[in-house]
Amino acid sequence: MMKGKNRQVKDVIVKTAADFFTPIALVLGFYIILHGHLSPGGGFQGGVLVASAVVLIYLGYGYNEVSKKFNMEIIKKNEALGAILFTVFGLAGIIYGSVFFANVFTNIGDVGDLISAGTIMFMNNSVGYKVLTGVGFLILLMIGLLAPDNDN
Amino acid sequence: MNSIVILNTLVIIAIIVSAILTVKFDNLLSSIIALAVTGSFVALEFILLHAPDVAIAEAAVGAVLSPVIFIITLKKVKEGKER
Repeated sequence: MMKGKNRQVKDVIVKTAADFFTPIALVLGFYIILHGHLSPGGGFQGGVLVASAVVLIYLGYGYNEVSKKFNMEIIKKNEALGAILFTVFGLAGIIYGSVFFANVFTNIGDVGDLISAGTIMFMNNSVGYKVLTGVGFLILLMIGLLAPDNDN
Repeated sequence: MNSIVILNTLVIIAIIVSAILTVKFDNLLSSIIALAVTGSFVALEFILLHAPDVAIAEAAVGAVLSPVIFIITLKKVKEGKER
């Protein structure tokens, strides 16, 4: 009886903490991805931060809710889409500039604006997309390995 | 002595102590938590050395991602032992 009550209280605390910190992790992660060419951080750092939100949702709500919200097949395909986008923006350097990964369209926007650094910004965003889907897929795989038959 | 230097020394001592504890603990869960503490202090040291870029990556990977993966692995190994 007492043990069950303690379990309930712990669940409420963990769930409230997950509710509170998941939006913060998501917003900070997407901010770091979008401002990768202006401020410290970049695609990898922001992507890992966004993917850690999956861990928070799992800690608060368990595996069933997480597997309801995320489709593994779509995430796997989106990771490949990130790599393809990164290569396409690299090929734009050959077509419009000189060599592979050359930075082109640098005259758009002022220095310090969000859209200012040519294709570097879009490469950064595609790296962020690839990392957030890849690391999110890794975490989903690990927690799915842990609790497929467990009810919580 | 400069206050930054003192803070730097304390953080480096904390890194060394938590790294030694990671190896010395008998309980594996305590060892994993000591590893996470090491990652957090390394991230703090990167901030003190003016590398916020590396600090964000170290804080996300060293303090969140790898302990979670290690804890999941530990739980899975224990399940296999009980079976």
